[in-house]
Amino acid sequence: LNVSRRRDSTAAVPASFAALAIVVTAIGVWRPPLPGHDVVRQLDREFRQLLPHLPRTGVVGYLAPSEGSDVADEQRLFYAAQFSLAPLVIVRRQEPEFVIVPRGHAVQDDPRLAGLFVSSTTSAGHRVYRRLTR
Amino acid sequence: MAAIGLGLPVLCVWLALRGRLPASAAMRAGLAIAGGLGAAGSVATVLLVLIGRTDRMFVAVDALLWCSLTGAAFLSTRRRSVPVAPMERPRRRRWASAVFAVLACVNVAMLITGYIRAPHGAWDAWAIWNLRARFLFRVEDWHEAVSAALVATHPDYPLLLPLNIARLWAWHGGEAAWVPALAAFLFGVATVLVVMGAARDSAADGSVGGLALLAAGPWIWEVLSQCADIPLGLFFAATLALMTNGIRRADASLVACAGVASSFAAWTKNEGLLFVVIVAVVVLLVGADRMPRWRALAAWLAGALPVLLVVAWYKLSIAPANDLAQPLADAWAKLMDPSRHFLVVKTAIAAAAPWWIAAAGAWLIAALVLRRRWDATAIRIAAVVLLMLAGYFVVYVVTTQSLEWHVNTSLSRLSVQLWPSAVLALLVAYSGAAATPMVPPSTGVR
Repeated sequence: LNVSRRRDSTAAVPASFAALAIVVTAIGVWRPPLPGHDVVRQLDREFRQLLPHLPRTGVVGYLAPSEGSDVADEQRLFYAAQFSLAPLVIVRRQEPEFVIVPRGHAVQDDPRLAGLFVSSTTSAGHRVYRRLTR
Repeated sequence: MAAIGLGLPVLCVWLALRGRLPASAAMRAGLAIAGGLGAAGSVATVLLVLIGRTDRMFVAVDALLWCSLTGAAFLSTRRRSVPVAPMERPRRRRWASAVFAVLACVNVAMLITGYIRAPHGAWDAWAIWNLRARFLFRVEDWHEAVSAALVATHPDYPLLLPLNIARLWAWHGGEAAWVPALAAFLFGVATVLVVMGAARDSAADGSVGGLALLAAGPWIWEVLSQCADIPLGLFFAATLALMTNGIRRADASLVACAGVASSFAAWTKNEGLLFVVIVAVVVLLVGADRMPRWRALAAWLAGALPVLLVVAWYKLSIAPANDLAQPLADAWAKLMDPSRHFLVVKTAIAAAAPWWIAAAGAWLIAALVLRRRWDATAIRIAAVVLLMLAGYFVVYVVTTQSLEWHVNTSLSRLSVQLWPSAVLALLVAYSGAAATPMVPPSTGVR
């Protein structure tokens, strides 16, 4: 009898977790936790197009966004460039010989690109700049 | 080939555990996956340092090593007596098993479709963990993968997870996106098996642990992310399961295995270092049932030391400084500032997703319902979880980052790390595992 009573009182444990697990699973199916479109795979493909125009190893510059650009989008582009182009080390500086300018950056009046010329442009709009003299 | 590279270490640990751990097959399978992946990552570290890169030579030596170890484990198993499984009590609450089975299938389907949608996982996975794996796989000299120039991608983070991925890519002969996804899936499955295996009464009791894991939405969704928090949570839970079993049975070899598992945690993420310290303190202070404290600590240390030495070497001589490093005086000043404590609590409450509030609420209710069944084993596990939470709280208070940003971006992942251990404590209390000897005395396990 004692055992029966004990079992009855502990029945709440599996019941509560089961109820919660059912709700969580239903939500997971209804609203998947990760985005439906694979941005990273697309960016990976885009940045790989730059590989023939970059050295095999070493440090490559990356033009940080000018003020007013979407920070999250810029961060994603920067990390995607690093993810795609490893083992190149991508740094947010313009001193290296090669500098990546991600798409969407208005470069016409950017003084940070002084002394650099466009080496290549991909269909996605990403560009590689190269220092004129070295 | 990647399947062989994955399977060999898991098989090796499975064989090594045969006869030593007469717990359920679920526990043994979970520990085999955890131990196999942990050992593979640790051995790969040594090979990488010796060979310099993950090339064909690396794969050849790795294969030779794991074939030899698996063969040795097989031969030693043949000489070892296998204990008779303890009598199971009558099964109860079969409905829990049925519900768990259905939910597990639905969640596996959700994970597969999630992989198809986003094969590279969440942001931190591709920006940190899988990126490091790419570096380790692509570079001529592995030091380039942890260069200080890569400061934006946390090159100080431990390498067990990325090395596992790079190792399997080397076996496969290319960078397949399914490799990190499969590893993440296996770490998740192993966690479920280890937690479920902690229940000794019946499979139905184990299902309660499985249901509790699935009840925390962020936990199961984190499997999709491919980050290091699920592996870390697995090594936490494996350590605690092995430690409590070893101490209860006065089996130093199991306590040593717990040491190995905790060292894998330290080689997976920086939080694992805190875990190692806390486990040592708990073993020393909370005490042991049938094993002297010093003996338990010595056995644990013997298991943990080899990989901990690797971690210490990496941290002290290779890895750049962590972004949370700061002068002690600065940290102390922050710790003495009550407003920062208040801000952590306030931000954490705001940041806790409804899912974590619901899961923690269910856990607390269950703990209250089972209040008379909490024994030393369950309390010891819960003590580790509470101390880890306290440690995370202190890290938040003294953080060098924006406090709100730090809490908001990491609270859920830290909870993911500790949830399996919290469920483990609850399940031990629920199933009365501590009251039931793991092995009948007559079986005489050596």
